[in-house]
Amino acid sequence: VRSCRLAALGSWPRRLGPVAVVLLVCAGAEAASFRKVDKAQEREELIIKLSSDINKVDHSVQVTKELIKGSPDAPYLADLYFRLAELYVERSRYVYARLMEQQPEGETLLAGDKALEVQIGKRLAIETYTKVLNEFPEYKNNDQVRFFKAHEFRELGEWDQMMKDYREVIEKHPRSDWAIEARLILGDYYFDKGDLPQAEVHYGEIIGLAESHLHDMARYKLGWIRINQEKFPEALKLFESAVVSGRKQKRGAIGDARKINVKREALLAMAWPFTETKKVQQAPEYFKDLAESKTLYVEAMKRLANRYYVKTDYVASALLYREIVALSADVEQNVDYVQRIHESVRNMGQRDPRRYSNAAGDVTAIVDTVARFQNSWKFKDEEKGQLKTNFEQRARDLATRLDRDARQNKDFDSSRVAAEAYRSYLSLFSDTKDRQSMQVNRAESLYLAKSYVDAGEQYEDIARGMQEGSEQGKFLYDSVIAYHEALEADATFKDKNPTKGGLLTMWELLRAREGLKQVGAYYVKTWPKSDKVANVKFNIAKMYYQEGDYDRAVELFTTWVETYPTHNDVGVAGNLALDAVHQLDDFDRLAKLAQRFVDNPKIKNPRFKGEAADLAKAATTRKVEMTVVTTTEGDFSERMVAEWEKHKGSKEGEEYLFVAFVKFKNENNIAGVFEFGNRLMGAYPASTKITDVLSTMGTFAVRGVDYERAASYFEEFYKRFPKHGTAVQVLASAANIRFVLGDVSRAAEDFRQLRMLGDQSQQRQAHERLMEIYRDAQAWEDLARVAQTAAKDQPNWLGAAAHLGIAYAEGGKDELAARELPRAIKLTPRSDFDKVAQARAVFTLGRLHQKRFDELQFKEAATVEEVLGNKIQLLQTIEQLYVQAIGFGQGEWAIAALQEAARLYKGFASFIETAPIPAELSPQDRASYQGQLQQQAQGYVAKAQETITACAEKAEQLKVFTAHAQACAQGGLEPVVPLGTRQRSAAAADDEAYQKELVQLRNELARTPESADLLKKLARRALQQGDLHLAKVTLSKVVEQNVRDGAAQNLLGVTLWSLGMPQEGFMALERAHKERNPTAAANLAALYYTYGYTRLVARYLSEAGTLSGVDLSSPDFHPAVRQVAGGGT
Amino acid sequence: MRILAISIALSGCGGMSYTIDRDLLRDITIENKLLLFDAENDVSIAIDEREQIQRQIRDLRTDIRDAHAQVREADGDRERAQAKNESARSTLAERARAVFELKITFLLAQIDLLREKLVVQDRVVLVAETKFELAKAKLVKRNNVYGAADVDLTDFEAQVDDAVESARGARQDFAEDEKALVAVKGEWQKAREQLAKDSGGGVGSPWAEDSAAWGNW
Repeated sequence: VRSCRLAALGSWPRRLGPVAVVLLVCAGAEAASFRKVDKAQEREELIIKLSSDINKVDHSVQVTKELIKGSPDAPYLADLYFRLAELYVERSRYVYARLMEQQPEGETLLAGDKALEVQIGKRLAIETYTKVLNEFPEYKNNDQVRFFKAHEFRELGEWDQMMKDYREVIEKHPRSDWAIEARLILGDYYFDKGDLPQAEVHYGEIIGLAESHLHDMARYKLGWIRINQEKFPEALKLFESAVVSGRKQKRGAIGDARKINVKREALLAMAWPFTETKKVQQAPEYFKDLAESKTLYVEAMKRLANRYYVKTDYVASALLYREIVALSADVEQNVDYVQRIHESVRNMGQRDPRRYSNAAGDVTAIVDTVARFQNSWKFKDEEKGQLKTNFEQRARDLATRLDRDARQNKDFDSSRVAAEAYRSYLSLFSDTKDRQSMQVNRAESLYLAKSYVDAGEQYEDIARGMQEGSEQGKFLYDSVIAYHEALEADATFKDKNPTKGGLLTMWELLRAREGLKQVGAYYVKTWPKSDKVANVKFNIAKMYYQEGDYDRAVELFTTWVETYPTHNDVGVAGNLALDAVHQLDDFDRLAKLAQRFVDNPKIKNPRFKGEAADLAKAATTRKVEMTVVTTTEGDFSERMVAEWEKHKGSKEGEEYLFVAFVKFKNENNIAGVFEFGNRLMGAYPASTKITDVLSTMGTFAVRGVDYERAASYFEEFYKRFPKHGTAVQVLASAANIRFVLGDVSRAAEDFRQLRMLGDQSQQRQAHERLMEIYRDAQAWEDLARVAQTAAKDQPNWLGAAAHLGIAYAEGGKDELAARELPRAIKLTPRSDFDKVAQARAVFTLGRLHQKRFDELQFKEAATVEEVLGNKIQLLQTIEQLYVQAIGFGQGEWAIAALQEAARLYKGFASFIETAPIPAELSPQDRASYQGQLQQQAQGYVAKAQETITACAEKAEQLKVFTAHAQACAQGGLEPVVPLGTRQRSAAAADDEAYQKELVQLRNELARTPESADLLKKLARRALQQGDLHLAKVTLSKVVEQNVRDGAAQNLLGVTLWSLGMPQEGFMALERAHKERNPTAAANLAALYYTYGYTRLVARYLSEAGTLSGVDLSSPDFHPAVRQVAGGGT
Repeated sequence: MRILAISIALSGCGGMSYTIDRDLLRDITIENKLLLFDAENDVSIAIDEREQIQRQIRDLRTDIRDAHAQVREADGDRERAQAKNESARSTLAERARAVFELKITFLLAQIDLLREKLVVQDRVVLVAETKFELAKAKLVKRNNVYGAADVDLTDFEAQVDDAVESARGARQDFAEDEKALVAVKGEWQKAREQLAKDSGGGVGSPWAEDSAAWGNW
């Protein structure tokens, strides 16, 4: 180390001398490059010049001496002496230089006499310096004088005197720059002698002073002392300080033979301590920070790399050599370093994972270096050839070893590096015998590294370099597989990460798809019999599909399915074919293709066939729907019928009808719905769509107030689909519609079916309705049958038992009635129906007894008492029953009971009056007896009158509008025959004009089914026509929508009254009246008038206002209004 | 003075004689301008349809280039087969050439048909444009903007009528042409199918349609 440093710090004589010489030499060298000058002549010229310089100095010495003599007291006398001493020194240098030039070639030492001439000058200078010091102790430049004096001793080799004088400079001028220089020289002196502690003292003293131009040098030298002491961290720190210190070194040490760049030297010196204290990975960053230039950085790296290489730290050295090669443009040097890299890698431990981790970069470095070497004019072709051969082996070695390790370890990242190494290799070594193997290796490495697109391209390249044959086919197939893998991996990634982009760039995606298509096409063409061809074909088709070329994809997948019908992927291919057609929105084609697959007996995959069948069906539907969408409004029906006729009998034809039906349904087009619904039912009676069709048509009919039609559809629905989940409900709707329409026979038919269907509640409801129908129609035998069945089904049902009794009673089967009614009365009512039935049953039983009561008459005198007793007993029984009937609170039957009670009393009075007078009575007694009888009879007459009056009052109070109430109001004591309700007349159905109007109104209603105005219009028309039931249903719908619609309530009241339901009519009229409907008051007046509530008539007539001029024939007025308005009151 | 309605006789150029300067619509509220959107949209649709036809023609030209490459590949195959004395393969290559010639015929026929359609579509575009101008003219009139007095609606209406008449005249029944095209296509596909069958699923098969892209290197 020391010898190395000594060379670096080799001393020169001092100051300008050597510099001048160097310059002269350089000037000479420069001239030589342009002129051909003889060397001897050149030297002669130099000697002449030096002699001239000596003469000039001699002249200066003479002049200076003359000046000294002439200036004995001058203040600058010391300066003149100092100048004189300098001239002596200068002269001795020129003399030395001239003597050296005059020396024979190769002679480097001066002989004694010649050396003496040089020494004389130096001695004269020393004497002059001493004179200055002695005679001018206060001279301002004495630090310099002393330093120069010491220096002359140094040059004369008088070391002791030199040391003494340098120490004197330090002692007498400790802060002077010359003292710092002196310290450095002393330090160097000891350092050269190997006395490191002494050297350290002097360097340390420098560092202890304020920062000077020599501090970096002192640090640098101290750094070396630390290295010698093996204190590497300190050494590194000192060097680093020298490098980074802020002060720029403007001048070097005076004693240095040449100016050295301390910072540069310090940086380079750091290599040693760095290797001992830091990690190699830190080196690039560390030195980049410190180095002022790239050149310096590379230089430092070289030192460091060499150091590691010497230390056999191959990982580190390889790392740094790579850095150097990457930055250095020095080809020759790089050749060495590349070799060092390869050797370092080879020398690394076999299990060191870092061994080939940089193989790609290393191969690239080799390739770059070879390329530069090849292009350099400096080298011969032979050298170039040798280097290429050598480096090709090295590059191949690195790449294949890495590849081998990667495959053994299944290390895909290393495979990627190996592939890159191969790429570098192939980029330069294009004509080697191993090129194809390297290409194959690269392709496989790329595949292993999952760089599938690049692998595919590489396989293609290999195939391109081959003759046509199976080998070429193999590589092309590998290429197809690689592209396929690329696309699959990309697709899988996209599936899992839908919000991210794929693994492939757009270019790679395109490349993979096109590559697969083109290579695949060539493969299929050239090796059609290959066992891999099905796979290739499948993937080609898939490419067209993925690229959106659906027409082509359909063609290819369809052909594929039909070529390989038993292939495992037939389902996938088939579905892709179908999906491609779907993408084209060609549903006709889709349906046909799906059906083609279904019909292909060679395709065995049942799941796929099932899917295709479903799709064929769905596509047919969609095709039809699309026809609907694309058909203009005006042509729609025509077009649909035309399409249906085209596909008559087929599923597709059914679809056309159904889709048209649905369209009209959604548009509320009643005519369209009925047209296509009926057509569908006729053409496809077994269609599963008929449930929807029928229920829709029924609903539309209801909406259009075409209730009969609705009922027919509902009945048809039940008839066709009795097992359907809604069948019972639909039939119930039909029955109810029939019932409210007054079509009792068909309603009864429906209810008769219903009472055997559904749950107990539904059955009971059916029974109730049936009983109501027959009761209101006064069809007593039918009622008895129904009630009997109901009672049988539900033995404790009061309603059934009561109606059975009533039916018997009304039908004249008194005995049976007498048996059933008491039984019914005892049962417990469970519904309003039961309660009403109970009241009526009690009343009926009373009537039954009353019938017997009426029949029981006096026959002969002997039995008078017995008959009377029976009569009285019956009277009491009947009275009790009527009282009981009144007690149920059912207005109609309470009033009926009262009226009958009045009639009972009246009857009893008559009975008494007509009682036979016993024959044995005297005429006087006879008269008295008769008188008593009349008196008693009068009592019952009064009671009858009282009861009938009470009945009339109660009826008026309760607003009961029945035949009994009417009788009471009129004081009638005759038996009352209750009227049944009116059944629907068929006359309306036969009136064509009326029916036409209805159709028109219904069409309007289908579009706006909630329109109250339209509904009322229809109801008025129906009322005019006498189609009371239709009016009733229609108006019920209006008031259901809005109970406060006074006009509708009024019309409903009129309708119900006209239907023989005055009680219900009254309620509607009352509501209308509450809503201040002007006609309601008139109708109510008429109703009151009809039922004899005369007190109320005037009031309501007055409310109705003047009716003169009013069209009382309007359906808003009941015909009775005309009567009352005509002065009936 | 602003130019309101430009009345330039452009007969023979296929352009419009009457147009409304956009500046005239500047002062009309956006609500009123909305009325123009449908007409403008119709113009865009017509132009789109025309561009679609043009795109199809461009694609077909590419297909023709590819088909020519297939012909060249077939020639190369034949030469190689002959050099190796493989007569069966040589025959297949010759047939492949014929098949691709048929394909080219089909593609050219397709282009001819599309060109005819393009002529009609140009007229349709003109109809849409004249209707758009008419809509603008009506709007200008309705809003009575400055200069509206110079706009005579009857000119614009007549212009629409002329364009419609012209389009109607150009309209042809393409059914016959399309039928002929299907026949040409059928001829090509039939030959191709037979070739594919005879080559064992290689040459002539639909999968090998693009083989020239790789095989012609």
